[in-house]
Amino acid sequence: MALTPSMLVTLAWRNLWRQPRRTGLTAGAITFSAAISVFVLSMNLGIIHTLIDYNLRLFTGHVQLQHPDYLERKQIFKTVDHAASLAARLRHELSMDRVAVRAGTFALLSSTKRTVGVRIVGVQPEFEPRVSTLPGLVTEGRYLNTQDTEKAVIGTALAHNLGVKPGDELTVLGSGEDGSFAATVLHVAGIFDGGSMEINRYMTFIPLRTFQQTFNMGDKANSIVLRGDHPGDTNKLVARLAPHLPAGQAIAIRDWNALQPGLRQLIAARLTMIWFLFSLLLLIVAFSVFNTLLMSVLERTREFGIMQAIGLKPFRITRLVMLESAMLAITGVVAGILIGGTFTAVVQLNGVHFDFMEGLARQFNLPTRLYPELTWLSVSLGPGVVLVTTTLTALYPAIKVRSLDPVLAMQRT
Amino acid sequence: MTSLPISMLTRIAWRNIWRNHRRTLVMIAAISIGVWAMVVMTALMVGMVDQMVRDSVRNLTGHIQIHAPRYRDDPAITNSMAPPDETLLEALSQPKIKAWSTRVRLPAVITSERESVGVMLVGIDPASERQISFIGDKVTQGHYLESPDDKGILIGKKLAERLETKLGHRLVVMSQDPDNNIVDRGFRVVGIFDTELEATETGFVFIGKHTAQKMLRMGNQISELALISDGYRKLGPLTKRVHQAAPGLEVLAWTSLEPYMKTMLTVMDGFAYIWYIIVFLAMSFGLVNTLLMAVFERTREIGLVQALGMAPRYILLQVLIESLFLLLIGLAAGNLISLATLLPILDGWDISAIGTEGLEWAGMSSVIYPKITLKDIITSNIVVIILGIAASLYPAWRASRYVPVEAITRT
Repeated sequence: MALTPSMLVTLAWRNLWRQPRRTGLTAGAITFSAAISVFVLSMNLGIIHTLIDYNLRLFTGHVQLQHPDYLERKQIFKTVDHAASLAARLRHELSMDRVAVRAGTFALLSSTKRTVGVRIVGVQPEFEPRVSTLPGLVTEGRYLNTQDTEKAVIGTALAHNLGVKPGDELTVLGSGEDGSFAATVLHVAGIFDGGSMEINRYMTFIPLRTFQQTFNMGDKANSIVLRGDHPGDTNKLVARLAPHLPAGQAIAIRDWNALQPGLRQLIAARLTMIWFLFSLLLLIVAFSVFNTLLMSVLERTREFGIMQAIGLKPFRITRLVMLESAMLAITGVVAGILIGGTFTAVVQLNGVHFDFMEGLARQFNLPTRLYPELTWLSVSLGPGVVLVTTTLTALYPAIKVRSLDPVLAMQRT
Repeated sequence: MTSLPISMLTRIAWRNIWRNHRRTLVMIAAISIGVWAMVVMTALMVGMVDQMVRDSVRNLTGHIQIHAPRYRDDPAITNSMAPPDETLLEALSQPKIKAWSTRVRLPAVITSERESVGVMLVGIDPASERQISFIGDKVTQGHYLESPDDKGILIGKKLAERLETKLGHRLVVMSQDPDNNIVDRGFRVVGIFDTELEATETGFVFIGKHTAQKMLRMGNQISELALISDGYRKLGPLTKRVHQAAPGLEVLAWTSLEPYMKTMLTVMDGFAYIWYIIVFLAMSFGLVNTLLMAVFERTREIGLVQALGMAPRYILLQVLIESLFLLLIGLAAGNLISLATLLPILDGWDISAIGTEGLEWAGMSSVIYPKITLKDIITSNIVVIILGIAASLYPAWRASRYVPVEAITRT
């Protein structure tokens, strides 16, 4: 009677549980590393998505159309011509309304109390809220609306330093697009809290038309900002944009990788480090599992000797041992996925409150409550690697079986 | 039979572990890797954060700063303070304070023929400032300021590019005096400095302190006083003492001035411990299993020895000693390869491959200097030994519980 696969499986399973404690501990190591990998990867995926999303939604958007030299150094005379009509055309052709025009430069902002150097940005009040979350962060007064002409919205720190509140007057002094003297008087419409010190201290928003008039730009602007549905789909957005660019002008399409290189770099660095740490962990677990498997194979020398003597070929014994190891690994990994997944799901309900990391959160424009993200990827990648590695460590012990001589093996006590 | 001397148990334990070379060596390898992971990771992380804090401290923050109470909120000329009085001067001369310097630090606009940029104007006392912040060492073109009355200006390399200006050219600095009038003055670029953080190069310009005070019509008022001590940790008591000598002013340590840095430090400290525990747990499964199997293998022998009169507690002790040997050898090997890994990069490990913008955003420079402290090494070693022995208690206890008759008759 041949040894059917189902017999093999049953045999392997029973062999494993002849030594419950040992198998339990070995499986425990595998479960431990699998569970940790699920949680850590989920947590980091959540952090990464939040990092990207929050940062891009705040101001940068997913894609910007700019003068080719603007990225290297932002100077007001590097313009996109007929910007508003180009933006309107793009909205129509791409069927998306998350398209907004901006123009910006350095200028002096004066109140009765103080003069401060700021970055002044002209925006389209109707469309800016669709590409940026800043308009929604107004804490006093209100954001700009389409009727406004001589109004400005500034950050909390700036308002504080200038000693102004909504309704107060501000003077703007700067240099126009053609180098001419630019000046105007505005009233504060609202004050926003953008989170980071940088934004609250230096950003000033005024209506685009007012900006273009004050700085002598006509219908030129510095960038057209677009926000797609998903940061990950930016390539598709860029591809859709390319055919609609006007032929006469030099315009560059910049995606968020180019606009915020630091973002991608930090994410890559973080993932690399996690992989490295996880590999170390896996190495340690692999050694332990290897040791255990090897010892148990050597321990069963007599048993294998008898099996060989009654006719089981060595390679079948190898298969049996491999099967045992694979089943052990699968059991451990499945348990790890269940434990890790459940733990992560529970944490995902309420998120993790990082309020002691307030300073950190502000620096990177993150909220203080972060959520892990349990996805097919996070549930399978780590445990998958654990499974493969563990099964590989079983190769050596399993192959050692072949070199057994049945007679000698049976003589061992 | 009377008590067995420990030395005999030790010799037996030693021989026992070498009865099975391969098993012992594999276990020791696992422990070594674990120790290596603990020591090296900690040294790199600690080194990284240490560098960040040091850079931040040298980037004008200093260890402790003194200002007028409202200056931090609103760094303007109206919130200036008087130069240190006698009480404060006395407090500043205590041995724990290595150096101190006073500055004028106010927002201004700097203009070249081509561009204007908003910056922080810093009026310094070049001699004392050199001991506290980066500016004395980082002037790569031209020269450092010579005195508080120096009429030149130092700007960063990135700023020079933005303003499209060069050494020897003239720039105009514009700011406000206490009566809210705009004051401006021309300066010749006498030096250009180069730091690793672009934000520093574009954010600050340096002139002589007296020149600043004259230009801004401040009299002898200053914006702040910064001091450095012998270390950046545990500055509480010193801060208090300085505050007592300057009751009307705000005296703060860098931990309050740079909360992001402080958080990074706390997070790193916490991370180290968590990492130790995780690595140890990974090792412990293997350790316990190995010992259990070693004990199981020797069931008959243990039974025999018990039948001959060896007390169970000595069997427990013997197994613990075996485990101790494994741990100690693993620790020794692990520490050695850790040092072997860290010593070559003691002079700095260049990680700029990550990308300079990302590093800049996180406030890190692109070179990591591992920081190996005795405290960290001892901590990781102690964690491994204590937890290792704790984990070995179970197999050792099981060994001591063998009933001689049953054990001997086991095949």
